[in-house]
Amino acid sequence: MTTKGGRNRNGGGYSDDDDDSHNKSQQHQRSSSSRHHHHYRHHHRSDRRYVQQPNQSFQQQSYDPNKRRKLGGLNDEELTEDKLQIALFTLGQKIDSTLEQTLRDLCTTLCNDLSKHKKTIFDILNQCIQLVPERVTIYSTLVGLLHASVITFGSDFLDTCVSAFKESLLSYKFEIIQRYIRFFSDLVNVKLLSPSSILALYDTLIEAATETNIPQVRTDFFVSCVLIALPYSGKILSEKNNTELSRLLYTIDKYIYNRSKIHTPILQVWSSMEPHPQEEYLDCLLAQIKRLNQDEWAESQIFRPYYSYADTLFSDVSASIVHDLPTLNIPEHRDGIIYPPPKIVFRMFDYTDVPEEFVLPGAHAIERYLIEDEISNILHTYHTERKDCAVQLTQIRSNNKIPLNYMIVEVIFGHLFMLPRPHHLELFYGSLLLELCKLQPSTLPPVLVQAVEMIFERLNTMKTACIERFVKWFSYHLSNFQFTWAWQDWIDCLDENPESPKIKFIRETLQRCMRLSFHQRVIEIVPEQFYKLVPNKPSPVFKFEENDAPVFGSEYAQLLVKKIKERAPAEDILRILNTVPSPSKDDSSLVTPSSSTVTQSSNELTYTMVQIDIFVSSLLWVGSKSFTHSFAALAKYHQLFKILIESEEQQIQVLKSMYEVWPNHQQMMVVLVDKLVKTQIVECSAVANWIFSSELGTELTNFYIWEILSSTIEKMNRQVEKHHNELLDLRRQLNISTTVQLASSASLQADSMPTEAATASSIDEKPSDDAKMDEGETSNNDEEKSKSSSLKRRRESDDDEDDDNERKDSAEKMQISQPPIDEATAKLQEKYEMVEERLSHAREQQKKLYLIVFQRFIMTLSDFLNECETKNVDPVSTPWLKWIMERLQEIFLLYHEQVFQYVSTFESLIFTSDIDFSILEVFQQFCALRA
Amino acid sequence: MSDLSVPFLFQKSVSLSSYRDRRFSGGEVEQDKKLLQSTTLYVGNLSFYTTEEQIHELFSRAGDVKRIIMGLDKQSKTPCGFCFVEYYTRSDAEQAMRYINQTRLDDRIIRTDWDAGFVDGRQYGRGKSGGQVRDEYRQDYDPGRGGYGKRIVQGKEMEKGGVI
Repeated sequence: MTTKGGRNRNGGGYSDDDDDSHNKSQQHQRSSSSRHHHHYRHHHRSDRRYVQQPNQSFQQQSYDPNKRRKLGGLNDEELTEDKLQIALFTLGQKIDSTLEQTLRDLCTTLCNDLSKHKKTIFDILNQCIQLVPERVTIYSTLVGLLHASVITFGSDFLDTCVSAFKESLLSYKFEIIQRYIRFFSDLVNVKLLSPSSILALYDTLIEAATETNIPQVRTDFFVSCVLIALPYSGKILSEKNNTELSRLLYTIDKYIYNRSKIHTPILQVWSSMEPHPQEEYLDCLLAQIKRLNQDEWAESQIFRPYYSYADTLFSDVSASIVHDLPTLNIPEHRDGIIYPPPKIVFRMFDYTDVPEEFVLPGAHAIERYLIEDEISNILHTYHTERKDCAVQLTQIRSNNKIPLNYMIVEVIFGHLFMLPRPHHLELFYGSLLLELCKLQPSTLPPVLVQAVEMIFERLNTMKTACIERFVKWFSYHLSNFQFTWAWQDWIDCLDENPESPKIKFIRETLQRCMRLSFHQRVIEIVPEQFYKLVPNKPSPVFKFEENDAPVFGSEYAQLLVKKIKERAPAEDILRILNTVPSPSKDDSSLVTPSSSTVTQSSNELTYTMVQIDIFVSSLLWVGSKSFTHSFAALAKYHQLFKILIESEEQQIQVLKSMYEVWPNHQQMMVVLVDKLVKTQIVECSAVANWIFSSELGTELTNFYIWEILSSTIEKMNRQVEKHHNELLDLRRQLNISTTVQLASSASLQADSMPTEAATASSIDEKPSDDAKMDEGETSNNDEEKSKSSSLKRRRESDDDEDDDNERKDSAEKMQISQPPIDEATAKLQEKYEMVEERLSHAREQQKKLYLIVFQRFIMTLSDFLNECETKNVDPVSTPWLKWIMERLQEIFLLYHEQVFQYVSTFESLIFTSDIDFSILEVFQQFCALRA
Repeated sequence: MSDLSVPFLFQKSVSLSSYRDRRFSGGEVEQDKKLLQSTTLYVGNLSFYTTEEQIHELFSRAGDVKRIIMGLDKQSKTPCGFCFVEYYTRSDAEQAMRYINQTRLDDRIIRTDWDAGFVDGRQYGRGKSGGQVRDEYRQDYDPGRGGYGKRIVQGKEMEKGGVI
């Protein structure tokens, strides 16, 4: 229970051994009077619920509930809850011959406990239905057995389920809704529910799909609820209510035929339909259900343990009553509800790809869907425990000779490549594949190798976002296997266009391999022919270094380097920078008319690009030893940055200088830009403009550039989210009942939210300390701050005192205008308004950032298209268009929640009919995701 | 599903191990409380040659890394095979516990554990020779961690000295 083996029980040292098992058994005998037990009771109540059951696959973590009793801390109710939770959650984790008896025994136990612990039992059963969908038929069997044993159980339990289901409907918990519908459908099979009442539920759902003027994603959802439940109930319905079932299928068929599928291309992993179509998920599911209908609903995949209890469940003398589901109402559509987005079905294998002894169910066989669904469910249920997840996947059973490893690998890649985003962290899928390789060292790796080869061969039509995920996974996977790979198999493609997807893939993979290891290692792992794709050694470049032909400013840079190494105070550095003369007209390439852009400080000195360049280059050069050294250098001179850098042009100069020092170290640039944004030396919009600047032109197709852009956008999003959550929290405290539409759930209206009103007051507001991108980042600069207080300040807002005074002022004003309220409420009110203002300011910045990004995309793409036209080149034949156009798609997809908030602005301002249709099309496909 | 308590079945990887820092300044209860809220991980069994950059590359795949503190030999001030990785959020740190613990970096299976939060001084090895305690008594030859354990090396040198 105290988790991962007792490796350190013998003392403080850490043991390296990979095999925990012997430690675990020792752990089991640990004195239970350990402090942890006491502790968990207070802090980790959920931990307490994990108790061991013999012969289950989870026994690695030994924990004996009986020991708890000695502690005397648990009452009877808690103990029962513990025992029940273990018994129910582990039920059927491993399906073997003992399950039949286990179910019978469990039924008896529960019957005995029912009168005393009814609520607990019902709660846990509902939890199981909601959390463990892959074992739904086992739970319905248990419920059926209980129903047959206890006369009141059926209706009582149904009541609980129905109210939980209603709640999930009202709160739009889509996953839970589907799980209950499937469970109800299976209750027909155990004679708890009547077929006619489940049909009535289906009819209600389908009816909801015939409403008009509602988004297709809503109607899609309700139709999908019926389709995913039919494999469970279809057989019995076709026997008892065939006419109604046919009518239902006809209605669904008609609905699916008529729906729009503009969204499909943007979600497909491959743009080509060869060799496998990337079908729209409802199309595919309908085809599978129709096939099942033709086969008279005979499927061979669903595990139906209830058939083992014919004597109990299906005897003619059975006295148990078949219940009807109450009539359920589907809540109406409201603006702001975000429905599950449409999906495509990812397929990479067909029957010719698997060894002959196996039979891979065809694309439209219901078994293919059912196994894929089971794999997906296990991924969701166990995603927090990769080892258990791997074990559960390998235990999937089937009545047919299915190539399970192929199907597992296909579904995992399908999840990893899923657009807009994978459900879980990419790292989860990677670590899960490692566990699967460990579990089946002779059978799984060959399948994985085959999959990599197939994906590699299909890179030309693979979406850029997916190629990037493939690169990240592949490099990670290799790093766990000593980078062993048959690289020579790819020698043939080395002559392709250097920008072609295959070359790009290898190049980016080696880049990531280097990031996970080191330069020399990459040289050692690839054959010589690949050297031209191996990244440069990631060393810094210092253009001001002493040499025969020094560049302008070298002597100042040399001096700065010396001073910075001596840890000279910022004042000294500034003094040296002030002596740098403006370069003559001939050297003015770096100089821009900054005096005209910075009008507010006309009476003060504006630092030139040369001065900034000298400072930034020298600083980064001195700190070039490691990330920590670089960060320390930035932190030490943070205040100096604040003095030197004001305009966006100056911010971009910082980025340009950084690029000049680190052109060979992509990862360093990624982390440096991250730090510069977090410490507010550089704004998000400056990063976006720098990325699309001409200096970076040739880099634009390289993946790290997009890593920088995404991380920048994400920081902006997080900032908005932070203020938003603060506001929600304050509102809760204030108990404001007004329905101001700020919640992200109402994001569709955000475009017209009270920004306009609030902007007036916030537009002049300079970012205060609380508005920092990252609070922890600057706190350690306090020392520097006080030291450099003698430096003249250009930004008054950096001064905390001033800011506080302003706040006090506004507070006083407010109290005059407001009716008397108690002090605490007034303080809250004040804070609320402040956060509200910050939020609207942040939203403005967010909107501006997306506007810049999209505008720069359109400009860059349009320029390229025009150039192609002049040169008479087909743009579609160039890899460049693929890389950039698909990055635009990716930005839309990755940040769809945020982009949708401002979609009407973007539509009216930038995605207008005068831009190239190929660009506009991306926007339209994106909009269709929520249509 | 957020309103349901997640069964321990799905929480194993992020719960506390049995290790406790014996030099922690507060009491046991306080240490446990800190560990349960911590966003900092101890990372062990690194090669002495593994760099901060490599650690960043792997651990940033679990979430936004706030800082990395390399463990150093008290005497030589060179890396001695461990580090602390601090995240901005607890949930990112949990992801690292779930998916990085017991996987490889620089061809070594690394180990992650919760740390109550970095305090100055903890970056140094606590072994008598300056490195980690485990490298004092190690019997095997580990080229990634300076060869044999320090005590064995000393013993051998003493033997040699005796001969001479």
